[in-house]
Amino acid sequence: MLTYAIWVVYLLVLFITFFLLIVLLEEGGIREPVEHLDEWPSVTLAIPAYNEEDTIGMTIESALDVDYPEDKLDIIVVNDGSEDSTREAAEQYADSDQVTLINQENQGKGGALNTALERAASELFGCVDADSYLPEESIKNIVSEMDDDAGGIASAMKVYRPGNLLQKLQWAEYMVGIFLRNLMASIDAINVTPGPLSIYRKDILDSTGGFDEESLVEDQEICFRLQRHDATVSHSRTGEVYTVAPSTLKAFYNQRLRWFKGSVENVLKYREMFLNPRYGDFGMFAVPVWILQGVLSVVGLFILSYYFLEPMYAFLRTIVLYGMPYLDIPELTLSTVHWFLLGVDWITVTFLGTLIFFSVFLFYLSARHTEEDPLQHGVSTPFIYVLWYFLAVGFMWGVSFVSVFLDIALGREKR
Amino acid sequence: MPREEIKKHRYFFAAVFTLGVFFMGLLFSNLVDDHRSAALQEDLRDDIIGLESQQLQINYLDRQEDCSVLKTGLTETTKDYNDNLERVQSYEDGSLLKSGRFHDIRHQFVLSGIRYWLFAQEVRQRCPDYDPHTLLYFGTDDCPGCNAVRNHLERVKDQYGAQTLIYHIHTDIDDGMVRILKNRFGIETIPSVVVNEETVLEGSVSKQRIVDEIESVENATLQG
Repeated sequence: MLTYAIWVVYLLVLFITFFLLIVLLEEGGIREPVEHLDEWPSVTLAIPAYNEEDTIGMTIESALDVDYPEDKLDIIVVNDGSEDSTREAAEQYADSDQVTLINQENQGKGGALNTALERAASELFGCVDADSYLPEESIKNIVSEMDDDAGGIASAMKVYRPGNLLQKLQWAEYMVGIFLRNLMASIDAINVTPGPLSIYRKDILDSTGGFDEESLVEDQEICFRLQRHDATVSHSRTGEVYTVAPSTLKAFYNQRLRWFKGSVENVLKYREMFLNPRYGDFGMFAVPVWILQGVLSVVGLFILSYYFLEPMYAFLRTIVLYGMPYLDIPELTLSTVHWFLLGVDWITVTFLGTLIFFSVFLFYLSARHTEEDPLQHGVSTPFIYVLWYFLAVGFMWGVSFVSVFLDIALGREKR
Repeated sequence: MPREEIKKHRYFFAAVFTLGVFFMGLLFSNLVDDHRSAALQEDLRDDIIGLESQQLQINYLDRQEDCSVLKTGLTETTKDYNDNLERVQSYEDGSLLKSGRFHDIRHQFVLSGIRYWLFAQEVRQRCPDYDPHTLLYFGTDDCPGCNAVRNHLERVKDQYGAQTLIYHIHTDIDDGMVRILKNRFGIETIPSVVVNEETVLEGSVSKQRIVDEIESVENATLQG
């Protein structure tokens, strides 16, 4: 039973890897440098904020500092019923001609974005999380990389000044995410336009009904919605945004639980697209893989715990029940080495070996793609990222699946 | 705007490569199995040659002369045999393609075990100064309670060292000699342990029970 589970996991992982490698070969993962447009379209940046007093100032300032014609760039800050001093922090910038501050009762992030969408009068509509930092050239780059017919474009989301190990691991994860999203964009199968910075064409947003006010992950929901309406979603390599990554395990856990729960709800909502060739590679590859990555990381977690914990448990059990065995340490001879090599479980070793090889390769390609030094945070970061990070993620996926299942089974209200 | 058509060749080639790698893995595992069975068979041959030589020695040597050589020989071959039997069992369990070859090798090892056991009795008769305890274990790898009994036997061996010789009769092996031995000792339940060809301990016995049995034989010998 366990053997077959491992085979299925292995086959699926291999298939996904080979598929992505073929896409990489055919489409080319590394983009040309951006050519800036001659004429800039008008852009509204919406910054929804709920209790963001620590970071909102930084975000608004970076948005004001971006290199973009002032008459083409509006900033709408929506204070979504914050209970801290977000309002006061935002009011400091309200006398700028570019900034509009709207204070409203709490409606959730989707609701706040819709408020801004109603006010916006520009061609393009951008979402900026209130804990992000926009580099100077980000808006020009992302706008230039947006395809003419695209409904939206995702940014290259990076971690803002990673400090502790957890943030460095997320730095690695986000870097790989940029590369993978870029690959997915090349087959028009992108499934999330990240909240820290994404730009949409306003008329298309309006025609698809704006943002979902119920979803836990409105940035993913809007992307699925665009795909559902056959609007292209592009990905920007040079339109960067820096976001503050959770620095404590608790905050990280809560964030992922929200993401993964939202993802499961999202896929359930758009289940008709699952394996539906009508929606191209998005339906046939992106949606199944989106859910599979959750399932696979949970199954992987179980398999690995079984492989490592079960023998340890069996050994301890033997000692407790039957006493300490007489440890007969064999001499190091050719014969003992031979028997040792023959005794190794080569199937498992090969399985783990290929997975680790592909993970390291992916990490290297991602660093090359984003033009970052892969070892800037030491060797330990990629080491832990490749070998251990997925266990934590698998655990949180597992909790999310159970949580969504319980919600449905018990008919619980969302949120 | 209509979507671009799916490029089917990508799915096709990804599937072909996946299956290719997967079948290469199966071939590889078969290769490992080949090496494992070859190594075991080589050991099996060595053991048979060793036993033949010891039998020649015992026939040639006069009584009481140089029993120490036989003693070491028997202890060592028995230890090797125990290691190999454990190996062949784990290879058989771990083999992806259940070809039955490890089952055959295990059959041969069980038969060698019986040969050693018979030889041990011969040695005991010829050498009065060497009186090993033989423990015949009847059972299978995964029968309920068997694992516990095997673990107890291991600890008994740790305690008595070269004085104990353990032979495993795997009752899942279809063999005439195995059936004869089962009849001879009246084995009806597994696991069962036969101590020094006399006492049959049935079911999940404790380590203490096995030790008591060994001690009682020892005491009887001392008194007699």
